[in-house]
Amino acid sequence: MNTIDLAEKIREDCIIATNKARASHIGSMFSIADILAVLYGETLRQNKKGTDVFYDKFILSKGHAGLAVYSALAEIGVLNKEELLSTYYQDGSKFSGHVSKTGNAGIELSTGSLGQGVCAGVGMALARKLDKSDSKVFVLVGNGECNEGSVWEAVMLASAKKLDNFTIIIDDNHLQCMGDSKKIIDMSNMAERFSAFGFETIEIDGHNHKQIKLALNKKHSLPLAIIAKTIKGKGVKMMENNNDYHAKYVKDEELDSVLAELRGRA
Amino acid sequence: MRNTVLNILNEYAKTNKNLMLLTGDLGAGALESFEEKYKDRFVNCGISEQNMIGTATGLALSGKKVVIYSIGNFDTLRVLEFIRNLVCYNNADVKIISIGAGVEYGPLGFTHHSTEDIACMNAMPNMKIFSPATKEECEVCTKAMLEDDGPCYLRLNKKGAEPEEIDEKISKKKNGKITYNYEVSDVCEAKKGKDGIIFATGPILREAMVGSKFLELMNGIKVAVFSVPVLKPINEEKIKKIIKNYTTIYTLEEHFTTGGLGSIMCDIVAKNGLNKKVIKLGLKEENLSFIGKQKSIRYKNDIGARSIYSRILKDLSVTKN
Repeated sequence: MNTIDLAEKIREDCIIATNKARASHIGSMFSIADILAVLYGETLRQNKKGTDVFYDKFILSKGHAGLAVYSALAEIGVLNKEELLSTYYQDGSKFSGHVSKTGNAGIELSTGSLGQGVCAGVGMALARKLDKSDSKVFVLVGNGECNEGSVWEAVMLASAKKLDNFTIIIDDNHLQCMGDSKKIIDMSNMAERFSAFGFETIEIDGHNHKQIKLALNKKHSLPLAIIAKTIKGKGVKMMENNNDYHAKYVKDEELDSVLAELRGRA
Repeated sequence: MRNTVLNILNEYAKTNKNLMLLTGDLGAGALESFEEKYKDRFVNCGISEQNMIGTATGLALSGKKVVIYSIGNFDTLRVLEFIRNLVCYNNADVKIISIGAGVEYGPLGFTHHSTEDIACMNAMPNMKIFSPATKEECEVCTKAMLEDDGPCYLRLNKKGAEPEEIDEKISKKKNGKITYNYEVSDVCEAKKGKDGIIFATGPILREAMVGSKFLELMNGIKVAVFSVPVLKPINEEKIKKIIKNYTTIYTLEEHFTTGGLGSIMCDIVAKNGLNKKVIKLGLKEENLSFIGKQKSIRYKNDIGARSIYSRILKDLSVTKN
């Protein structure tokens, strides 16, 4: 499956599963669907044997978009898609709303409380340096998540240790839980901030697969920050830049038309 | 006791190449020996404890055994949710050492006192808690902690409850020397006695020992003293057997009386429907702004040896009358 198709399948799974579960954070899932499609479809190298699936590590620090990661893993055959779609968010499920590692191959860390996954990612990158491994670590954070001081603590250590195997991807959709980030804490100069903290930076269109691929494959001698300009809810017109879909799901009566719109786009 | 821990870490690191030591920029004059020997395996994370806990988890999930060193509440309460979500939920091989347990930092003030840490750590899933009183206990606890492959907390003090003369006047007349001749285990009998029983955790054991010795020498009252260096998992069965023949149990800790050893004891008594009274001796909330040396804070909170002596003497005479 190419990455464009994979992104579409991720979005489709997210629509269906959140509708069934009456769950949400779908806007965030759509915001990162393209980045995840490139990561899981192309970038992350897998181990040839053993139970540890990936040689390169990916952590979703903004754990509330976890369903998009489960979906990506299901679409590439690491997790069971049928089980995911039928049990997501249900009693006794392996798939909690915020991404959970327990029992789920390919998930490196359970997250959900913001600003924590990124710190663990720095530890993973540091371990790989010490072990002289060429395995890479990628962490995806939200722009709102960057309000958390611990993100910057992690960034400072990554910079101090010159972790050239560490990449942070900022899903910069300009929105957060309560609305427009500019009106809450304006961090629109994200690249400058990361640059000032000692990272190499690159700004991309977070929905352009070519640009995502180039950025993820970029060679860097310092830790890298990819500022991915994204649209929350990207892929379905009524959801794009509509912060209501931080908490809403697609209703039963809208389901067919939304899925048709998604499929038409691909 | 800090040197005891560091000597063990230095030794352990020789054969265990995955052992790493992280600090939040604390431990000057103590951690250098490790840093010099194992440069790559020592990381000063800077004054950023949240990231230190996260980094430790990432290292642990990549096959390292990670020891974290800080003081007071900085690597416990300050970062409690990081410990909960990252270390405990992932059952990561992370060992948290915090020095200055209780009020050891005395006049440095309330911000540097760790007085709710047992309560918080006891509530954390998968966490084990070690709270040694003496060098011997510290050695056993540190080794046990390193052998364990999950989350552990070592509640550490620089100074342990070391042997000492309890009172010059008494010791001239009688043998008033305090010794700690017992085999270290999770719950250890430091002193025998049938008239009463005190459970203590950490170096405040000294106050229980001295108080008990006073009772014996001055009044002929024999009060048993037990040290509890392993608070989680607590050895409930052993404690049930020990307290069988006592009606009142005293607990002593340099910690608020909520959520610490006293509460753990109450749980055991209540859970098993035992008809016993638990008297929790510890720090009192009303004294939290009192400034003073460790010893003075203990006395202010009625947990010094003389207070313990008077309290038990009074309670026993009331019972007898």
